[in-house]
Amino acid sequence: MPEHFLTAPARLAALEQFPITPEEREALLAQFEQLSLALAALDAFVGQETEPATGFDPLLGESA
Amino acid sequence: MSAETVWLSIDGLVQRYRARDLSPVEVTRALLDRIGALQSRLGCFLEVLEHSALSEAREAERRYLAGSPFGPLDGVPVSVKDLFDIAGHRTTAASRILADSVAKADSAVVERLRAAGAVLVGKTNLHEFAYGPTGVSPHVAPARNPWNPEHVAGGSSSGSAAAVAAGLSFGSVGSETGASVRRPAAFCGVVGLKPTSGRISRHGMLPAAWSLDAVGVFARSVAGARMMMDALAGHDPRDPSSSRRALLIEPSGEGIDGLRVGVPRAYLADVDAEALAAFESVLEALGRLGAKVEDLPLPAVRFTAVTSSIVASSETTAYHLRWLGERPRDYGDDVRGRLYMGAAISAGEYLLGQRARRLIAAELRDALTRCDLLAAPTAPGPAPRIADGLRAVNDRPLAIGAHHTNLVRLPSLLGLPTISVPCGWSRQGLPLGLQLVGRAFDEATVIRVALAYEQVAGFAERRPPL
Repeated sequence: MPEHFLTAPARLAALEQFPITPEEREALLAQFEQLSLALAALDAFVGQETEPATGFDPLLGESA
Repeated sequence: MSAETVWLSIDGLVQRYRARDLSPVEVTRALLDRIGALQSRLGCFLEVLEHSALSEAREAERRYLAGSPFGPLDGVPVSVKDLFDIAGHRTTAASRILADSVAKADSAVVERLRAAGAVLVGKTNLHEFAYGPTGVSPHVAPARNPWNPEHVAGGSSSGSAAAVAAGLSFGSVGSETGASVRRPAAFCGVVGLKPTSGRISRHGMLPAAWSLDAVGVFARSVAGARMMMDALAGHDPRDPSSSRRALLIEPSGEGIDGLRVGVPRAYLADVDAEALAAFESVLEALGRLGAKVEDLPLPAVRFTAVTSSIVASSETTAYHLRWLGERPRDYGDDVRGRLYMGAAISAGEYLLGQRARRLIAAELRDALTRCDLLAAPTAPGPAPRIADGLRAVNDRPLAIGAHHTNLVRLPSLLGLPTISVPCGWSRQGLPLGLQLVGRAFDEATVIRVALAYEQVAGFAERRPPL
């Protein structure tokens, strides 16, 4: 996994302000593992040069 | 008045009003009685507007008697998802957090329904904060599927789809961020139409994710859905995403001979056998009508679900962040979990999603120069049982690859016009849906193909065994 993405435990640590239960912690860790893998694949797909869509464009009628 | 009246299509109902063959007051009263009889079984509504509905129906009746109805929905009983404000009524979003939140003014959708003469019979049930695919939330009894109440109606616009399917509302207004109009429409066997994003104002609608949210409509026929859309579409300066483009729909009845229908077959591997068989029957029917059906490879689309999820998670959590900090236990477990997920996504990762969105949009823009629209099953199978929970919907928001969730999230990610129409029933008697996706602002082609298919399929007359 690319080093520029947070690990699952680091993501969980970033949520310390919320009262997360042990059960939620386990579920979130599993989801964050999946998220990190997805982000890595998405990062490879997008590359470095692509500019972001600005969201929905009402003139184009689609994401732009 | 015949008990069959509640099953009329919107256009059929209006024709009977014009002929003074039916009274809006009688129809509204019959519908309210039916809602009263079925609400405890189906849970479609969070609020029934009995008093004001009868008052609105009386006004509509006076207009018909005077020969001056307001418009194409005059006297038509409709409902709105409890995400849209109605002045003086609560907008709860099926949540505990907004349980006592009373709207000060009408949403744009409600303004337009009133201007068209529609009779508002109630506010419909939904997944909590429109943030989930089942319509099952901990704070209210779920809207159940009229074809089998043990099954979900689908989220998030569960009550809207179920109310229309059960003959409790002639049309309904919902919203979608991922698939929240088309999925429940498919599960409940009704038509769900989301026009090009920006066609219908979101002013006065509680947001889920600002750059993805769009308004959609439900009816039991394609013509009815089109009438709902026509009444609601139009520029509204109060919604920054509102389009100024005029809504131009060709006369219906035109054939589809020569139209090119693209099928992204690579993404159908996880569609169940019955849904796939129903879809193949659709393609055969479209072929017999003269359409050219072609396989459409769309490699970038494999990133659609994850892109949609990252963008939706970040934006939705941004809206909810204050409540998430102050009242986390007032959310249902599933919604709170999704909100935590959004809180753990960085700004750079959110922008990665928006960058991927641009690449997927470019691929679709190119593909839609080679075909006129896309076709696919709306859902990978029929509505799952409520008892089987969230996983049974088979939504795969973080999975990258050739799976169906990419297809259902595609039109909302890109703002494209899309419709779900019934295309068959499973052996268990549950509806299956066909999804069509068109070019931006080309609702005309989407509706044209849906109408042509609906006419040969003949499914619009089927009714749930209530």
